[in-house]
Amino acid sequence: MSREIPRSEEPAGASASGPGAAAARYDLEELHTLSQRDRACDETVKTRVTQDDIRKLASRRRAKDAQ
Amino acid sequence: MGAAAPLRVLVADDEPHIRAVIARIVETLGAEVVAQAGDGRQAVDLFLTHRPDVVILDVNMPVLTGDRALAWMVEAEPRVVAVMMTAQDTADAVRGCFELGARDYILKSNTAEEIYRLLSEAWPEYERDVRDRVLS
Repeated sequence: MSREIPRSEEPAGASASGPGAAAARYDLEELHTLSQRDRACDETVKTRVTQDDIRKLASRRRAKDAQ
Repeated sequence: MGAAAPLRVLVADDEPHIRAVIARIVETLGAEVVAQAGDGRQAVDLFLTHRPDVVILDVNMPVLTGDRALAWMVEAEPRVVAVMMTAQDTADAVRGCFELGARDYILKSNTAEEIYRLLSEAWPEYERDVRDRVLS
């Protein structure tokens, strides 16, 4: 026996235009701003290095190990 | 006394074409590629099976990352010559791998020619390290 899956007559996303939509939209925008700010912070914390930086670091470590 | 035996190398990278390039470079340097792995877990298994002198490890690999694979390898053989070869260019990633026991760290952003130059310059030191390990 097949069972009908109840479907809402309301189109998907219709509630986005109802009451509270402006507040929800504001929250999303704020979250987006926060995530952009976090990403910017992450980028500054993660210091990029070059192959030459690595060579110097490796040399220093080897010299220290040799002592 | 005969010539020294070529270094035995394991190459681990999840990208087959990069493995092929690295294997080609290593063979040009006179070494023997004894195994190739496509993920970190396979790299550890092949390391324990073949006991290579040198491992060249990518960091971003599936199943087990290269730095974790390195930790397992160093646990099994503390004096393994491990060369990390990766696109990870953050100071933390580099320091982390050196702390775990990596011998060298080569950025994949280098050209193949540059990688060849870096490895060919370092190779005599790797050979010396391996020889010292065998003699000690």
